[in-house]
Order: sequence, then C-alpha cells, then structure tokens
Amino acid sequence: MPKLIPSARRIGALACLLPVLAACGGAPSMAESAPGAPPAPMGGAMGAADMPQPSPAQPGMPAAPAEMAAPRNGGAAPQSAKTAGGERAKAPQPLVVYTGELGMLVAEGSVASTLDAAITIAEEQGGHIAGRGNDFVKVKVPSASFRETMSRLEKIGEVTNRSVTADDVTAEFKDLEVRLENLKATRKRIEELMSRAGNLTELFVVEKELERVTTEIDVIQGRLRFLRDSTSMSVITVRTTAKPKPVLAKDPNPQPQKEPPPARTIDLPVSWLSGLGVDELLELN
Amino acid sequence: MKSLALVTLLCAAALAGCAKAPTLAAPDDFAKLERGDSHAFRATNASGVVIGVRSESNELQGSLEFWSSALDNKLRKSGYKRVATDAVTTRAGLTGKRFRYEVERGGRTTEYWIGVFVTAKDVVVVEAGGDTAFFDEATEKRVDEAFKSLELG
Repeated sequence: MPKLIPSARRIGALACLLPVLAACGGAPSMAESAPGAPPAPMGGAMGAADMPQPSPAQPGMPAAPAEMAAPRNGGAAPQSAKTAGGERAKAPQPLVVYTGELGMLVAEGSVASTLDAAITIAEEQGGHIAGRGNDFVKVKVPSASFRETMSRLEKIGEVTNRSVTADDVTAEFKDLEVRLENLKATRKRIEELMSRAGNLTELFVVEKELERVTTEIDVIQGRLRFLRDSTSMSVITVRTTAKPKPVLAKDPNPQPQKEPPPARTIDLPVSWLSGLGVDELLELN
Repeated sequence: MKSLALVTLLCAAALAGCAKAPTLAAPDDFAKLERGDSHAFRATNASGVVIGVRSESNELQGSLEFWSSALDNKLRKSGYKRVATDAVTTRAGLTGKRFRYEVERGGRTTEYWIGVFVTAKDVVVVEAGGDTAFFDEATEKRVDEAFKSLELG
C-alpha cells in the first residue's frame, strides 16, 4: 500500500520544479522569439540545446498578392535569417492576411445578379461564399489569386471605393510555433516526472500540470490553424448600391419651349427682303 | 412715217404704264390706303390691322419653295416666331405658301402673316399684320379671304 502522505522533501522538490517547467513551455526563449515577442523568464531551466528549433515549413502558406509588394513565398513558412550552420538563408517570407473590400454602383434592379456574379467569380478562382446580405457578399478566395479576383470583381460594377488591407502575422506565427515546441517538450518532461511520482499526491500535482500544458498546446495549435487558414484564403467583401434614378423635377408652370433660331443662312442679294415685316407694313406715312 | 413711229412708241408706253399691279379684294371694314413705295396695294381697318401686297421681280428665277424658304429664314433670323404654315390657293387657282408669325413690338405681341406666290416673272407677297388683340377669329377669317382674292393682274 502506497504512502498517502508524501514526505515534505518530495513535495517541496515538485513545487519548485513545476513552475520552472511551466515557465519553459509558456514563452519562447530570448534567442528564438520573434521580434517584439516577450522574452522567456530568466529562471528557465532549459539550455540552448534543449530549445526547439524555429518553425518548420508550413504547408499551404499563401502567396502574397503582388499589388501589396509582398514577395511570393509559394507556400513556404517563415524562415530564420540564419540556418543552423550560420549561413545566411533567404529572407523570411512574410505571412500576411489580406482583406479586400469593393463598393460599387450597379443599375437599379441588378443588385442580386451582381452579387451572384461576384460569387461565380470567387468560385471560378477556387474560392467560396462566406456570407451574403441584401446588398453585399463576402467571399473567400485563395490568397494566390487575390489580385486577379479583385480585378475581375472590379469589372462587374462601377467601383466607388476599393480598399485592401494586409495584416502581417509572421511574428505572431513564429512566436506561437516556438511556444508550441517548448510546451511539447515540457509535456514530455512532465510525463517523465509522472512515471517517477512516488504517491498519489505527487501524481495529482503532476497530472494537473500536465493538463494545463496540454490545454495550452491545444489553444496554440488552434490559433496556428486559424492563422494558416487566414493567410491561405483571403476575404473579399463586395458591397453594392443601386444607382439612383435621375429625378426630374416637374415645373408647375412650364414655359413654352422657345423655338431655336434657324441655322446660319446666307443673305440673299435681294434688297426687298429687308423690307419685309410688320414695321414697314404698318407704317402709314 | 415719222409720225407713225411716234404714235407706236406712245401707245407702247401707255400700255406699259397701264400694266395692272397685283391687287386683292379688301374686306368690307378695311379702307384702301394710298399706294406706297414698297406696296402695290395696302388697306387697313380701324384697329390698325393692315393688309398689303408687294410685287417684286423674280430676278433669281427662284421657285415657290426657294422664295418661301428665303422669306421664312429672313423673318426668323429677325426674331419672328413662326406659329403656323399652310398652303393657300387663290380663287384664280394660283397656289402659294403662307406663314403665320408672332413678334414682340413695344411690349405687345404683333401678328404677322405673309403669303408668297411665284410666277416666272414675279414674286408676289401678301402681308397682313396688327396687334394680336385685334386679330380675332372674325378678322382672321376676313384676312384669309383677302389672301384668296389675290389677283396678279
């Protein structure tokens, strides 16, 4: 029968070790964190050799639209500036979430058909509808065809406003990847500790920490999936406005239209024509 | 022989002088005015509605269409507003073209009718004018009859 009361020495050792493990998985190290990411706690127990490598290539990463001057990465994930051997690698490819919005005037009565046309274009580009209202439609298209889709959509109406936003999530992506690797390493260590747990209390403490780390891993993996999807598919919103009918104000007292003067004609060399008219006719003297 | 030539010449001159100018039958309430420099015939009623006839040489050998267009262009360029156009035929069977205009004079609207009849030698113009207020239906009818009574002479 195992001992139910752990020795004070063991509990104390676990209590010291777990925060350290938690700190290892909770944040990236100074060396690997993305610019702007919070540094790892100073008390981290991991050495440089234990630190996870930068993120591996991510399949399905989108190409940046050319109009945004972002280089096409052809699906490559962000890379470190230097390889393990210290050689300079290619510049990291940015991971950018593109969002486009088009406002356009369309003929009265053709709002629905214009929105249908926008959906058709999106589907032809490999995308799909993401939402629709009375006067707008939201479509998702592969980021690689974002620019071409925008160009095609601009032709289905009289564009009144156009906007494209690019949200660079490269730093966040790298940061999450590093944190994920660290957490996985932490989880492995906790699992090792579990096998060495001497009693139920120790087991309970370690298991609780394992659960926390696992939950955090799930959250990070979810966020990475979301970023991966956002960068591979771009959202374009098309908003339509029916052209207003020209309003012709009715004149309550319409003036009779004046007949335009005759076109320029030659003056015939006939002197008596000049004498025609009421003035000479009515002249009695 | 000499006297015969002289007599012949005098007779020719007399015949030329007696060549009849175009005229028309003025309505009963119109009085004939003295023949002026430009008009071969003129008559007026008491309200100042005047009917006149001119006879000019068809020196350009123009057709009815030519002269009617020339008159219409001239008058419209002078500010006359054309309100009606029709064909008019005299009792003698000569067909002409008639225009009806309105023109502002001294703050009043004046009615002005002009008919043109064309022969190979002459362009005969019949005119009628007066304040619109006096161009009532009865007057219009009498003026219309006067146009149709034109005789070229």
